[in-house]
Amino acid sequence: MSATPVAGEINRKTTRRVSDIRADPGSFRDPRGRIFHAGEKVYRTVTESGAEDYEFVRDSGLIERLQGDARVIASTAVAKDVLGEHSAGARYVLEHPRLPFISYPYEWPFPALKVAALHHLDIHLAALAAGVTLSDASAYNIQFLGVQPVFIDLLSFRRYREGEMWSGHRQFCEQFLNPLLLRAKLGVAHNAWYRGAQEGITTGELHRMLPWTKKLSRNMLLHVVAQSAFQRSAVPSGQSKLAMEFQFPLQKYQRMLTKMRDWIDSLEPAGTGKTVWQD
Amino acid sequence: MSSALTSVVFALALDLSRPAFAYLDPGTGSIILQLLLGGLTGGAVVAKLYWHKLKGFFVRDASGGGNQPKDDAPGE
Repeated sequence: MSATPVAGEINRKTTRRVSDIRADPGSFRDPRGRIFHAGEKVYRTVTESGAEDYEFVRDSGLIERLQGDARVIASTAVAKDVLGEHSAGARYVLEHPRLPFISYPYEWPFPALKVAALHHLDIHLAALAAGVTLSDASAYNIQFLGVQPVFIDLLSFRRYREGEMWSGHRQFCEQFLNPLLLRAKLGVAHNAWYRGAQEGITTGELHRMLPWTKKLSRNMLLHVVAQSAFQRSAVPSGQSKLAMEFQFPLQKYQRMLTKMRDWIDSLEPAGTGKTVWQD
Repeated sequence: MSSALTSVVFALALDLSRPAFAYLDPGTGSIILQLLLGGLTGGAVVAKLYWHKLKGFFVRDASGGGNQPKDDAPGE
């Protein structure tokens, strides 16, 4: 993984124009930037709408620290003209090293999904300590370099706003927690289901599958039973602003992430008895 | 979270488990859960959001229809 230049510095050595540039077909939902491939090179644009958050996060030093530990994919700022006409609308262009192998959460075994979940939470906790947060909790933002997880989406980092909630909690549950619980509580591997439902396993579905005897712990009660029940309950529309105006204390936010981390760290796969391949 | 609050959460979860046809947004369950985890202030917001259901759960009237929304629910 290449070293990161000083924050904001543009690496002129890599600014040659590249032909045969194509946008990554899976990179279209984020208005703050897009991934492009040019031969063996991988570029990320940062648009005007993502520039302010990008600059804040870059200047915080967080990314540099996480890249130094190889916990976040390396990036080098390059001149915009490297992408030619594809740089239209971009404020910045970054170059990433190409990952040797791309894999997806529905392909990972239980231990890899668990490591990825812990990595995501560790990154989020480190971010909050630096006044930064993550805008989502997509499991597809984690890749593996060998057995080491690496966070690949720089544009998921944005400035933390005092009092905000964990906006990615539902997504984290669906893409990390619930698939892990499926195996830990029921002995069912997540892979086949996840492959057919690539946004993850909803909490409502998990809630309906689990027997009541599996729901009696504090964590199961909160993150599965209560979340599922509240999701299905009606709130008068005139009162929704009450929830939106609530200030979630940062300390509680960090405690929620830490407790989630402790819980996931304790999960082990069930149903791992002898198979036909064993004596 | 205290065991008393855990009990209230459980009671709410049981009482709210009926299908409904209105949502705040796709993350309603997560938002309300975080209100509860946010301490007393957040708990008060949840109590206000679900005042009619809470009242129906704890104060059943003699006709057995105490779980219905009341016209005097605050904020409506």
